[in-house]
Amino acid sequence: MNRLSTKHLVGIKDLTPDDIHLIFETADNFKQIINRPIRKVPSLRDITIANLFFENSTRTRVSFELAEKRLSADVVNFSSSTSSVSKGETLIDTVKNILSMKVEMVVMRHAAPGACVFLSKHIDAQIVNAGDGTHEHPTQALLDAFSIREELGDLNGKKILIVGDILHSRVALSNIYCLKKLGCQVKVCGPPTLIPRYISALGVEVEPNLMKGLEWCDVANMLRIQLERQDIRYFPTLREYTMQYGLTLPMLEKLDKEILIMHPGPINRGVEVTSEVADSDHSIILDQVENGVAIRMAVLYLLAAQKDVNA
Amino acid sequence: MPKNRIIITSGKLFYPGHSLHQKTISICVEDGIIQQISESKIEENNAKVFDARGCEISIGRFDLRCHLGDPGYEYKEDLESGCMAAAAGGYTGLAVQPDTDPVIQTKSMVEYLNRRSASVLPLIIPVGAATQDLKSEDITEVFDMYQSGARAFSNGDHSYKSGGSLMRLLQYSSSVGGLIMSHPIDHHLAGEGMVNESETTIHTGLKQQASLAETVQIAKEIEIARYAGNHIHFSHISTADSVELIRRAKKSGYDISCDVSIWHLIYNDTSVLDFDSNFKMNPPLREERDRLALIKGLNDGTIDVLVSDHHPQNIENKALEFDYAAYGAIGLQTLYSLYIAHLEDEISKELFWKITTVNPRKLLKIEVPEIAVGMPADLIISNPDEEWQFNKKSNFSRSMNSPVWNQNLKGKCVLAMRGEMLSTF
Repeated sequence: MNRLSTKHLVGIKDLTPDDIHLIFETADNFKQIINRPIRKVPSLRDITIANLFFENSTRTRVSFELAEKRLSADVVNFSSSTSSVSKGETLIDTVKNILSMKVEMVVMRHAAPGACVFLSKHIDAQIVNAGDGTHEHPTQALLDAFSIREELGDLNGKKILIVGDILHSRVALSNIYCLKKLGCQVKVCGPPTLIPRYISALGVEVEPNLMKGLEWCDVANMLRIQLERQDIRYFPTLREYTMQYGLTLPMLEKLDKEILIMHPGPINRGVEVTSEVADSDHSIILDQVENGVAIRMAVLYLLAAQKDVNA
Repeated sequence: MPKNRIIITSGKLFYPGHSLHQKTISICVEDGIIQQISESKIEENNAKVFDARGCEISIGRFDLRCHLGDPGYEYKEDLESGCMAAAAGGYTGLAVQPDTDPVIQTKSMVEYLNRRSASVLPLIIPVGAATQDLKSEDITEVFDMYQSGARAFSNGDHSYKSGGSLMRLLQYSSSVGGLIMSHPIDHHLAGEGMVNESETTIHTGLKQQASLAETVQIAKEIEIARYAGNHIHFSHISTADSVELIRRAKKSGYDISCDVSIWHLIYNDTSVLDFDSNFKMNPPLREERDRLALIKGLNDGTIDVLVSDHHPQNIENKALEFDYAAYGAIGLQTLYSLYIAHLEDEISKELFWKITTVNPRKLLKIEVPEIAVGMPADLIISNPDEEWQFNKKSNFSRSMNSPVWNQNLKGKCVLAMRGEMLSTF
């Protein structure tokens, strides 16, 4: 089994547990490679990848670009802070224009949920979802799970707490899919206004109290409060949010065990976590970033191999 | 000598209550007036003859809720294209929503529609705007519009945001006449929700709308209508709780009515999992239990009317990311076929006939066509077995935003006739 079961990576929902393990094993190899003196491999030579970022992004875009370049792919970048629609051109038109320049793969970030699914029905190129609105962010979930695996080994049975704005978070949805497929137990914690009403349909439980959640979990993933994605106020003030759901070092010291602290970035220091926590030994935030490149190399490499099969 | 003699031969009449219901008959129409109805052969001299063997003859359907886009959105639909789509779907009457540009909110706009409708087959009943610019603030000149031929008033696909404005509308119009139609959504509770809130749609990441947003608004408007002493009609209701609320209110003697769209009877919220914007409806498609409750509501008389909710959208507004796509689907031409394909076992033919022909006209207080000698012809011939595909070639609408686009369907209207106007398909 060395092939993925899908042509595109639009969401974790479409992956099998075998797919995820294959991505991890491939990423293990790439992680070794990128820590060698010569970090570049010729795997994707002659493959052109377009990075289409219709929404602001720094770390994901850089991470993908680095992954592509380490694989020797040719890379074109398109960034637009406004949506294509507001510029008078539809998404399909924009992408078709770029594809007519012979691009094999598209890495896309877009503000509309399902934009990658929509695009996959209209174009031939392979699509990697780099975050579509409040839907999925599959490579983030993969790198999160990969980082936990690196620290704790097999994920089966591990207890993961996801804290914050679950309602507007593509990271939460993709993480839940990924962790559940790998056998984890997952709880979410946050203001009730930011927990989807039917969250239990995803096989997760709600823990309203952060301290209790910390006592329960092996890993706490502290999501960024995304004020930009909230059209109305879901909690009174950031101050009060932090009082209830902000993670501090004394809270971690009160526990009778060590837990891992994750954050998908960028951190609002002093809101989701204090600086002390972000910079402490508990935190694997920078490991996540490093693993992001290896995971994205693995995804691109495996998808490119899919194309050979389909051709 | 009559100029125009038409004979329809050997069709089975479908008109519950009629003395020839379910009998094979021939009908002779001269200059738009029914001259002869017979179980035996009618002399064919100099007549145009339509062989209706294997087909049903019925009165034309009436759609209580459709949007035609004329004036202002003729690139989506104009009166002619919408009416051809309607006639091909077996409709001989339409109540046309006012959310055009400009809004149908004055006597002159109603008269514009009257003038334009002189040359189309279906009878056009203008629905005037209930409030100025559909803003739910000041009420419009409903008296003047009623005098000009408007027989209903609505805010289009905007809800009555202000209870006070709705109350004054209901009070004021009680002495005028006209059906007050409501698109019941509490817009604060609905927010920007575009799909139903459920265990299904949580997988999409799309903004969700709780069914509560509809039920709460209906509960509020039922009480306002009772206080104002006027009838209120709820359009395209979509939730099980709404059905139950209306059922109880009707039992308690409240003067209310409601309709449901064909889409909410045949699809549920699993349809949006693929992000296909043709399933982006307002109100959103709800859960399976809601769909079943709507069918039950039709069967026990809680829901009065079945509508197409025809809502044309051009491709530039529809073939987009789900978030950005416009709401609605075209439905006039396919409603009958979808009934045959999906609902024949759940809704009897008699009931389907009643909720698409008699009930909508009664709510608007307009005459229900008769099939009787001396009456103007208002009839359709349908072939329940004819197979066809809904595609670019067969579609009469200017838009193609339909969940059943390019699908094979069964059951087709082959002739529609109103007065001297006749179309065959």
